Amino acid sequence: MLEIQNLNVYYAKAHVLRGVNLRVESGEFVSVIGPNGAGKTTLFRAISRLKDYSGDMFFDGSRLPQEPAQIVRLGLIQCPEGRHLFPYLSVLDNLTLGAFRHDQRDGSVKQELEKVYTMFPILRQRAYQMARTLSGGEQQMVTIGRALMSKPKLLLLDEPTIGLAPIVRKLIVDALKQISDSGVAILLSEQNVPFALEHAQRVYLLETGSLVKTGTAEEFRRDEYVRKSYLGAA
Amino acid sequence: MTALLDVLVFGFLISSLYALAAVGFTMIFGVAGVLNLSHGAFVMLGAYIAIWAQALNDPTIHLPQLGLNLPAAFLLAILGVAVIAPLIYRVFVRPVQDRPIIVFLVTLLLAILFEQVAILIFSVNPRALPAMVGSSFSILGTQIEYNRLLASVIALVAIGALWLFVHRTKTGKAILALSMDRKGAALVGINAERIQLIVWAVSGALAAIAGLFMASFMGMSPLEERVPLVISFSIVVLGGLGSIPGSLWAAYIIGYAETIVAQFAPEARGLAALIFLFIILALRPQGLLGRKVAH
Repeated sequence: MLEIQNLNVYYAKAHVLRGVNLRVESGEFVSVIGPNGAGKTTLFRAISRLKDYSGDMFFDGSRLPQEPAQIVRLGLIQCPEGRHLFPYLSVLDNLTLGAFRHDQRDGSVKQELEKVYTMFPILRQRAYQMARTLSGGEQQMVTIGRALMSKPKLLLLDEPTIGLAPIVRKLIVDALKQISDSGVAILLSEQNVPFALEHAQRVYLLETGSLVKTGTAEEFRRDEYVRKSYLGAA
Repeated sequence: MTALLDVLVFGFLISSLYALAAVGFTMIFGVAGVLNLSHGAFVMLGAYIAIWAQALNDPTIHLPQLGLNLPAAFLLAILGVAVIAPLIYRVFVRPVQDRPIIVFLVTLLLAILFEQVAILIFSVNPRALPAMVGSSFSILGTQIEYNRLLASVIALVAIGALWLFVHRTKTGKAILALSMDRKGAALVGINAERIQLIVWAVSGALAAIAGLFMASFMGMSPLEERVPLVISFSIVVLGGLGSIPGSLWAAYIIGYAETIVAQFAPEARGLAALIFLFIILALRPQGLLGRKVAH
């Protein structure tokens, strides 16, 4: 579904991603783990074309377009780090804008909205509040809800649980499981490795701009290096 | 009593016209961070397109003349600026959009260019548009021209229509979204380029309407495009850069401040707005309803 070949990204002279190769199959749940500064966010920004890159990216067999808006139209949707909600618009407006690319007259938007409200019932109560007045966890729910309104085929989530209380994190994790089970492919970036391995089928380890390891979640759990460096095993 | 009513009535009219001029300026800043210094020229251009379109056999205007009736000339002026403004954005501003200093220079040069072309065609002398409707009526000793009443109504309708457009339509919501978070807007599939063309068109149309009425009450010369620019600038800074409701509030504050001062000391009229601006900025540097924009 998503195929990335030899991706290189620079910030001025800093070589941030070095020849990254990565793929996500249709319906798959894939995690990218790695420490702070490894280049996870840069990878995600490049996929949505918020950052220029060299290398090849294909989605469903054809080359990714140059414009973020066209990438969204393909069903490649991102919940970015820092959320990037519209702070002075209501929760409902934020969610509805997620369906910006879709015809809003035929009632399908209402259906999608119901699905989001079912997944995160608190958002129904918050519908007419400005997004900026919500707690961090609620804002993260709006971000995921807004992405779902775009009817993703592949959902990119950049550290969705960072800074959230454990109880809220659990809610988000359950939601991701539910989204994955509905057939949407997921590419998740996480520093929290146990969480990243929990539902993932395959995992990539990104360190200082290079993918240093890839395998199934099971292989990662048994891997000596991963256990020592990321799972706190003695 | 008469003086009070004068202030209320004329203050409202002037403020409404200022609001029309300023709202477009703030919207362009809001969606793209562009300070368009040719905005005053759009106001002047609106007035001069109408002056040209309604003239017939006027030897002082060096262009073939149409002799349209007034409503048709007004419509042509509004549509004309609504087309010219996005063209200017596309051809001159967009290529340099990420460099604010160059945007400053380019839009300033364009403003001067428009001034000079207008002088070439119309001469430097001020001109006025005839009133759309004649005669006046009197309330409690205050004479109110029907033309001014009509202008107030049209200004209010235009502002109301803008409000509905921005808050009740999908495109309007996209404008707000883009002005609040550019990355967020890109990630829901909003095409920033298309939205900006629309905003420049709307902004041009509103500026043209303001120009039409300014020319019909006060007259206007090509060099006076600087006046609406300075007023728009003050209003927008006062209201908070990029905030539409802020600039509406600020337009009425500045419009009324000017009118009240003009009652007592007509020469000091322009000072009032500036003093207000200094006070507000000292107390609240982000403007009345200002806020941060995420990039």
